[in-house]
Amino acid sequence: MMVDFGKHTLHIWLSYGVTIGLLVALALVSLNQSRAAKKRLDEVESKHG
Amino acid sequence: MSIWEYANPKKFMATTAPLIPWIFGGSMLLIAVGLLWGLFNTPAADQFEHSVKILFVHVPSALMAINGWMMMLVASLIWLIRRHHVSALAARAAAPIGAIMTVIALATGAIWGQPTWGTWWAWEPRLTSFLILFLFYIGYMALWTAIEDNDTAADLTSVLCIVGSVFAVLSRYAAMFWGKGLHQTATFSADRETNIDASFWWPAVISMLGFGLFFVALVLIRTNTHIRLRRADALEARARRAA
Repeated sequence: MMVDFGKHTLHIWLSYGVTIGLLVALALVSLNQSRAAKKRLDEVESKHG
Repeated sequence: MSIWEYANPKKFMATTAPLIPWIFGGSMLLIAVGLLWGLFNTPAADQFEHSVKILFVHVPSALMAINGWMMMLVASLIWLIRRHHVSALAARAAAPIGAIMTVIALATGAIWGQPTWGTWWAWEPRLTSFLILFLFYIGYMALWTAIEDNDTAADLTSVLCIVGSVFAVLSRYAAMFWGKGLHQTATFSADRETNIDASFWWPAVISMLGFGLFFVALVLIRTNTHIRLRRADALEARARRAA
C-alpha cells in the first residue's frame, strides 16, 4: 500500500528509494569485492605462499 | 599495549573481522528503525509539512559525507607522519563510501529543495561547497587508480585529502562564512530543545547512528579487501622475481 504524504508523496518515496538503493548497491559491491579478494589471495597463497 | 599494533595488517584483520558482522548488523537495525520511525511515526512539520520526512535520509548522509572526508584526513595524516600502510588503505577504502553519501545528500537535497524552495538546485554556499566536496571525492579515487606505485599514490592522495578538507569544513560552515543562502543553518545541536522537536530528534539521531555504523562497517570490509589484494600482489611480484 502506498502511504499518502499529500503533495509530497512522490518526493518522499523518491528520496527514500534513492537512498536505500544506493546504500544496498554500495554494500553489495563491497561484499562482492571482499569475497573476490579473499578468493584471489587464497589462490595466490596456495600457489606461491 | 599500543594502538599502533593495529597498524600491522594481520593484527588489523584479525581484530576487525569478528567485529564486522556485528557492526554491519547493528547499522542495518538502526537504519531500519530510524527510517521506519521517521517515515511512519512523525508528524508533519509547520514549515515543511510532510516533506520533513526527507530529513531522516538527507541529514545522516550529509553528516557522513563530511565526516567520511575527515576520517580520510586523519588516516592520511597518519600515513604521511608514521607511514602505516593500513591507514593509507583505510583512507582509500572510505572514499567510495563518502562519495556515495555525498551523492545521496545532493540527490535528497535536490528532491527536498524542489517543493521547499521551488528549485532543484541553486548556486548557494552550502550546495556549491557540497558539490565541490563530491568532485574532490571523484578526484581522490581517480588519483589512487591512476598511479601504479602504491606508496606514491598514498602520498599524493594524502596531500589531495588535506587540500579537500578545506571544502569539507566549508560545506559544514558555508552558511556562516558566506551568509545565509537558501539552505538553513544547522538543524541539530547537542541541546535537543534548541532547533528541533523531540518527535523528530530521536528518529533522526537513530538514523545518524545507523549511517555512522554503516560507514564504519564498510570501511573495515573495504580496508580488509585492499589489504588482501596488496598481499596477493606482493606474493605474485615475489614469485615473478624468483622465477
